[in-house]
Amino acid sequence: MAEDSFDVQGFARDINVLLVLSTLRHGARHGYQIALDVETESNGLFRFRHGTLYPILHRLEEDGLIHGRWSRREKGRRRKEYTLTSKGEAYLRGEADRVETVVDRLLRMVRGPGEATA
Amino acid sequence: MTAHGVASSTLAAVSGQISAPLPAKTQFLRELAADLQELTARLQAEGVPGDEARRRAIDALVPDAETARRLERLHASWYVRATSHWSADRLRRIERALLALCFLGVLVVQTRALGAADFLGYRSPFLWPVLGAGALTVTAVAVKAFQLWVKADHREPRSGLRLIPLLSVAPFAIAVLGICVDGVIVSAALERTPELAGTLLLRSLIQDAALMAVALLFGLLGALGWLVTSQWVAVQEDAYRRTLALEDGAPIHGSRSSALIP
Repeated sequence: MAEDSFDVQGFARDINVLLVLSTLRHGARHGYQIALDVETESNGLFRFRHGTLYPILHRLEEDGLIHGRWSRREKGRRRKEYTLTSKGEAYLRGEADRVETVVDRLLRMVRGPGEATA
Repeated sequence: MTAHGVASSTLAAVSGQISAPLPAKTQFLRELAADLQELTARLQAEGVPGDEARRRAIDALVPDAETARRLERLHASWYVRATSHWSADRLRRIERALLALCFLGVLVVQTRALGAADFLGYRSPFLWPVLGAGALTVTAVAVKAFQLWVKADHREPRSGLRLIPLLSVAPFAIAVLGICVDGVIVSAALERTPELAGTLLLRSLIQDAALMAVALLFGLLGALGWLVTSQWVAVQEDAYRRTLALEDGAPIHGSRSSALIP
């Protein structure tokens, strides 16, 4: 039986979503802090530039995977912080498994049969 | 929240690039302003000079043209999303047809309501112009509500708002004119047939009362529609202006610009 086809074009977008969700697993973060955390935790491998983070955050918020709320900081300044919802946590777990399977299969193909994956 | 240390011209340029509904745009600009401010402060704390820190923050956080398009699509109303594959010409034709249907629908409903209330039996010749002006008023309110909340097209949020109070006055003005003319007609009739004075006066009184009641109803509907729409626009504009630290009366929507770094 044929499996569901894999959307290669959407893979980069899915990775960005996973990066954002995994950062929020550690607690509430605001926009640029998420970008910094992604960059720091990946040792600079992943980087959000030119505001690309905002459409991802807003879509995830619309889908109910994260929740945004305004918090008041020192000197009365406000900023929008995002937290992971329970739906987001479940999505993150499912997507992490899916990506693992995809990467595993990709490496098997690239390295040839019999080679162990990293 | 104002833009504080962040150049409001940068936010204004971003605003000019994004054609999203005003509430969503204001929320995004607020979020961007706060992030720009914090990132600039953080970079400065790390020893980066002020101008360079601001430039780096803008480079990292301000959306480029492609990201701005994505934000637009994301915040577009359900109506815009549903009709995004239609040509502008087709959409214009359909919206005009809806407009005509709305006008005719209001006319039919109000005529039936008046018939049910037995007002048509005592109709003044001026009742039909009052009904027409009233239908126009309700249609103008419906068009504005459609633009603001269904289409969520807030490029010119105040366009057409001034027309609503003017149209709301029209049924009332026509009714007053009608009552004056009816008065002249009844006076002439009384002069010719004074023996019918009781019947003529009673009929005229009911006729004018019905005319004025219908006119007042439409006037109130129009005034209420104008109050709700104009207040909503004022609240959204105020939030937008405070976010961009604009003066009152400054234009809400600048032209599209790529000059993100002032």
